[in-house]
Amino acid sequence: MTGMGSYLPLFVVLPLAAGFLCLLLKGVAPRAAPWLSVVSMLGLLALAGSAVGGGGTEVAFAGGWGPRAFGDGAFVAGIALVLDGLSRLFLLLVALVGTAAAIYALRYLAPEPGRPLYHLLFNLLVAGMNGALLAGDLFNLYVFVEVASLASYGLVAYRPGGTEVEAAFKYLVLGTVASTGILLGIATLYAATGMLNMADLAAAIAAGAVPRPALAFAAGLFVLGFATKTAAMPFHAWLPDAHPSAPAPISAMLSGLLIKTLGIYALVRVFFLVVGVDERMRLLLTLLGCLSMWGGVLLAQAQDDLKRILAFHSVSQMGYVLVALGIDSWLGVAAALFHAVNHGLFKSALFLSAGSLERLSGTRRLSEMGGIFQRAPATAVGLVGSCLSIAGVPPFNGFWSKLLILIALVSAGQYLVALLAAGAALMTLVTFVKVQRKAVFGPLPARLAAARELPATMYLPVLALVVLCLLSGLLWPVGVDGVVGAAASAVRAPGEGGSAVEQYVEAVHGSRTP
Amino acid sequence: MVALLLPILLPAALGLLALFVPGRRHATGTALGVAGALAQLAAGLAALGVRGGFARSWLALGPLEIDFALRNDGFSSWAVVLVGLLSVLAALYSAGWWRGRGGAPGRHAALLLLAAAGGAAVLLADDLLVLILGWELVSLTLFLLAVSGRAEAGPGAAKAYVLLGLGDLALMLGAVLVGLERAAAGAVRPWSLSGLAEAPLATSGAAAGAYFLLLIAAMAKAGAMPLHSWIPTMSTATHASVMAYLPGSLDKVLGIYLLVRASTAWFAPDPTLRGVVMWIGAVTILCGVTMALVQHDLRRLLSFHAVSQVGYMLLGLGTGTLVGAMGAVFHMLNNALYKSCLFLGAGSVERETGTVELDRLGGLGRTMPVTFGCMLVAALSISGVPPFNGFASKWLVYQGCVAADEPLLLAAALFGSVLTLASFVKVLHSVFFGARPARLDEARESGGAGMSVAMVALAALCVGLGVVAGWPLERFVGPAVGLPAGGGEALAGAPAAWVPLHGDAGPPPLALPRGTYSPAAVTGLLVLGSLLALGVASLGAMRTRRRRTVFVGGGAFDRERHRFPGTEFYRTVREVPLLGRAIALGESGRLDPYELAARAGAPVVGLLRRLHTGLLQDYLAWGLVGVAAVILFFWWS
Repeated sequence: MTGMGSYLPLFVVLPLAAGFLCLLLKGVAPRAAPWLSVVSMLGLLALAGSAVGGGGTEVAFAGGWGPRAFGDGAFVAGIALVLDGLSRLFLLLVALVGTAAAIYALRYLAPEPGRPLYHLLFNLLVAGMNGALLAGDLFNLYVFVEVASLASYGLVAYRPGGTEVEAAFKYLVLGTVASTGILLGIATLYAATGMLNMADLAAAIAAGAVPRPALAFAAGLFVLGFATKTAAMPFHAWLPDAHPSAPAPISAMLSGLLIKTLGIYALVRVFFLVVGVDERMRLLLTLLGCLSMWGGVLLAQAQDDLKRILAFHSVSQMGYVLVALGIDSWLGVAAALFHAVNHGLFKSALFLSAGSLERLSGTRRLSEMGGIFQRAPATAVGLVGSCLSIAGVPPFNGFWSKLLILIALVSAGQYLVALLAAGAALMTLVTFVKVQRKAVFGPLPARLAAARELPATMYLPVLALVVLCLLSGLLWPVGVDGVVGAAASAVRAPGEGGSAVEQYVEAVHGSRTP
Repeated sequence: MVALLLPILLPAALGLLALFVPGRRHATGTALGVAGALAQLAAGLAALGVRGGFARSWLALGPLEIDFALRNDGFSSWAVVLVGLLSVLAALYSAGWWRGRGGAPGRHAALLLLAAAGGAAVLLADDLLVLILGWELVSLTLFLLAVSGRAEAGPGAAKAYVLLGLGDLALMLGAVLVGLERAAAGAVRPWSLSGLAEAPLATSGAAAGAYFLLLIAAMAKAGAMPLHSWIPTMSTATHASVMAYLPGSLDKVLGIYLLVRASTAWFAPDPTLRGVVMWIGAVTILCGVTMALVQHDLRRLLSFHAVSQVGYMLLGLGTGTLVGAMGAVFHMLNNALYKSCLFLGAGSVERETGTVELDRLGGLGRTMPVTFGCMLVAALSISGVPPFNGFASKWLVYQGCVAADEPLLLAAALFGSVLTLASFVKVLHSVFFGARPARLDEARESGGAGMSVAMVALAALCVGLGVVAGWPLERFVGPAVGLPAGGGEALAGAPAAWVPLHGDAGPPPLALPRGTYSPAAVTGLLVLGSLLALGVASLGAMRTRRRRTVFVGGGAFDRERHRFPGTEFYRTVREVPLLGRAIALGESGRLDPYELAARAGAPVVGLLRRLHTGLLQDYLAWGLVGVAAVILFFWWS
């Protein structure tokens, strides 16, 4: 088993190496940094592609510090990396969106200073996310979450403006409180069991090794930590400031990936695998989800800043994912993961489009834009396509995951939540109809008469993401359902019998036989 | 299989092709539009004889195994032919309209063709997913067509798409409910429509909710009150052919198609739900036409009539009788014809005069004879004047009200027709009669021949389907409500047509008399009477006509100052005590769900924004209070 996953450390090593190489090459070849990011992302894309091709649960130990025979049993040292269906899905998403963002940044960042630093942080962000997706024990999960978070604090403050620094500071404080919560939760579990490995902990907690008050305390802290990283209401307050402040490719990475890898993925991993999910947790997920769904979408109504609108919609869309996670069925989990992936695709396309529009029209205010379709049709088509995706218009992917969530909700008998979700979907349509008509259609302001289409490296990544949005919906019956289904089965076994947790635990324990 | 796919694929393929025609290639764009529409019409005609359909396993969404399935019966195939015909006429009209103008006819034609393809998919669908996809494609094309209209078209287009989106979501939710209900009952293909038709759902519990959701979807699409408000709003800034094709006809066809299928084949609605549908219909007829009476913008006026006419279809369906349902389907067909004709006529008037303000028009009857003639026929049709087609279908709806023993609703339907006529007298007077303002002296029908062809064809169909009303009833309307033959009998008040749609109970006790309508006899008598009248006129005083200069108030008649625009006479409608208040209420937007939601949402959004102070300590407090609550929630047992 160990040999199978021997390439797993590459997911972390490759972006780390690329990142520090960017810094080293600062004096020698300053123009190489952006290309290094692109190359590292393309490499990750190939890796993720081959990982998705595989099946089962693969386990690897970083640096070969694997299990050894020691005394009467196996001695485990080193960092366990575990790749299962859930990790595969998100690794692929990180690679896809990261590649688009890296290519977009080639020309987008050209006039701005301090580029090697940007690319170092970008690669650290990717390394942190990939590490968190592969971590097999809680402490390494925490470490990688912190790596990605620290990189993102820096990237939010990348533009040296007052509002950016303020946003980054708020993000830093709230993010650190969340991370501290996670660490404290891990410490509580460690104190009770003396274990950190997730498979071991899952078995121990299932056997009742942790007393109820300690488990409740740890679970509450995990909710604080991961709900803050997900930006679920009422833990969302940092997001509407932080995401718009970052440069466009970073906004795309944060909204498209970070809230899912550090938030949704980690939440699912820790609760569905380790802590265990009962009716009470489901109710909490549903409540947080409904609050986020409606709170985010309502707050977006009053905004005029395009990127703030998108940021509030991230809160709202994560609400959908949480609501679907709160359903007691395999279908609910599958719908949640599918929507999370779809949101990653269209929200990053939207943030990249917002960056293009800002570059074209010199403003982020919707009321001052207009008529871009006449001047920059490729950029406009990218924005319209991603707007239609998030609004859930067929045949784009938003429609399919929305439909899947509604089916899962109704078949679980949650009619009221289904109505709330449909209502929030309508409000999403309201917003994105407004965005389209104000930004893309309508009369062209005289100010923009000289606007020109942006370079191809800025509109092609967006168009590629829009095509992916189309494909992930249309190819559902031929392949996508397999990938998403495998991810969902890693979280919760389909049907009644069998347990996804047992599978994971067995795979990890099996890898320890030297 | 191919025969059923072609009416969808041909217009879609040519439409996608036309999407890439550069804006300046006018001829290519319009030619592709006409070709795609003709291809759809031909494919629709070719599919007329095909019965049955096919199903291919497509995808599984959880418990729902979904097929890609199309099928054809008498209703679907003729409805597809109708859509094809409307597409051809809309394409021809647009081809004429764009002559000698700027803009991008290729994109316009492409979107119309995509709407046509979506419409055909809805009509031929045998699986709810196919239906939903087609349905939403039509909504999307409507938005894109509307938003790329005039500069000020944005808000109207957004409103239209939001209300249509409400309908789309209702359809989706309703379909999910239906599917899970059927899956629970053990159906292998829960979304198969022919499977659903084999075992209609009784409307109790979740199925009642599903029927209600489908009703909302149909109402939003067709534009029944209170979900109609997008039609008048978008009408003022949207291309005439778009108004004629989408809200004027295709959307009505699809909305009513869905409701007819839901009420006759998929569900057996109970009397309460039918009562709701009937009353929505009656209210829509009366409120729609009252709002139309006081309009002075020709487009807004026509769109309120488009709303009002939907009321007849809902009313007929809601009666739950065979004859009423036939009336609804026939009225859907007729409405598509005369309403398109009216919108196209209005577009033609606007193209030549640059305005649709009734006060600024007048005396165009002589200079725009084709438009005048066609609009006259269509106006008489919509007002339900025999022998035109509008009367034949309204006659069936009236009979349905009698059969369902609803004299009050019958009165509403009759009164609605009277007010419609009153409203169109105003239109005809204001646009085509009276003194012509001097600046309109040069207005001629200068568009391409396509415009005239489209309008004349629609007007001819209005006359034709009225005079031989038995033919469409036998071919199209009868099969739609499951009547194998003898649909034409319904005109004669045949008792067989008065039975309820569901259940075997006989016709209800009749408190009102039956009547017979024979279109051929009525037409003959009318023609004979007109000939006699002409004869008398030519014999009598008409021969010695005198011409004298007209004086008004001692001065010579001045065309500009002494015009009598028809709108003035209708101001009195506002002065009727209760009615005036009601109209003011309607115009204030306080009955418009879109406006209402915006007003209700504003304080909530305001509160949420005030809570977001931007202060870090507040946000930290939320997090800490939140985590304390969560820990207590987990702890507490």
